[in-house]
Amino acid sequence: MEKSKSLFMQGLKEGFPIGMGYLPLAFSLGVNAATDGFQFFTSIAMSLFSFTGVGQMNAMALMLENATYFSIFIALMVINLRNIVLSLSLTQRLEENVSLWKRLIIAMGNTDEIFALTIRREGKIPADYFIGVMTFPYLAWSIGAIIGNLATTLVPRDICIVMSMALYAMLVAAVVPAVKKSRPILFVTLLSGVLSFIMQGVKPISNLLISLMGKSASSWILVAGSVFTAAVAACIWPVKDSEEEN
Amino acid sequence: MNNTYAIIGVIILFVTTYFTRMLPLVFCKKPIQNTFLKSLLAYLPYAVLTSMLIPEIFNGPYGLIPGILGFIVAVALSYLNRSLIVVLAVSTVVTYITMIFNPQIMAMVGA
Repeated sequence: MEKSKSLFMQGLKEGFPIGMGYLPLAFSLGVNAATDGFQFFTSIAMSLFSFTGVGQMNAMALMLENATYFSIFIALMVINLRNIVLSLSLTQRLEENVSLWKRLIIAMGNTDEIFALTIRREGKIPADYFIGVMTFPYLAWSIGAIIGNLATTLVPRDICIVMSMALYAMLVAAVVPAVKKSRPILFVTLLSGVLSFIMQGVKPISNLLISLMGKSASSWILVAGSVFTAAVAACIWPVKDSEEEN
Repeated sequence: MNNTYAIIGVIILFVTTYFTRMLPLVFCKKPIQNTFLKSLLAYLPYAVLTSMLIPEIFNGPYGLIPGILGFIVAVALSYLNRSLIVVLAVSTVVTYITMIFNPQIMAMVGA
């Protein structure tokens, strides 16, 4: 009991910076929802039930265009394909014998940034630690959304803009230490970075892909490119035992 | 906006977000034995996280040059094993400062 409490507290402390990054993001999403004409409780429900910035931004944009339910569903499925990948990786890293209830809670909090933080930990990831990490970011996410809906001018625009860098830096901080330790991960990072840059950053190519695949092109590219890169690395450098996964 | 339409949209968002995270966690509990799949899953997160970063980090609302500088600072500090809070704080502050002075920087570069 004592051990699980201290793991929770450790996670809570480590999750604090993510929460500070989410606060302005949730806030600006709340402001957008209010100005786009979402009712207060609908907007709050959206933030409480969907702990995702990318998904929420896209869902709101689609609803503003009066998209059909079917096209909203398909677009969000594509955008959320990466969740399947991240959760599959997390189940392999999570300690054994985690109860169903804890798994259902962890699923709520497996955002890109929280995943990125928790995989920095050596060895198996304890469930209580993960739940500790997600607690403050989830609270910040909810509070930010409520404030954003109520007071649309409270946080200066510059702060909202620059905090998106904090969330990107979070992902950098997850990838770089792993790249330092492992040659296959260096390869995976370089190849997927170059592929993603060519397909999404070079305008003629990205425009062509969007005209072929529609607006969710970048999500398809992200998943397909990642699976390709990781598959190449898996063929060249098969992981022998569980120790090397880190 | 029609509230019924928005509520159904919110439910679709919840279902697609939560179920894609929950199903693997609840139904794939056993350790994977297949070496190829195990290796694939060990490498995939880094491919996904990198593809999310590039090129988006350079296309942020703060502008190209602040984005590049913030990225370089974040990579350098992570490489030097600085703590997470230092990486986040310094890269964000550097981005903020360059964002404020961005028009001047653009003028100096001649763009």
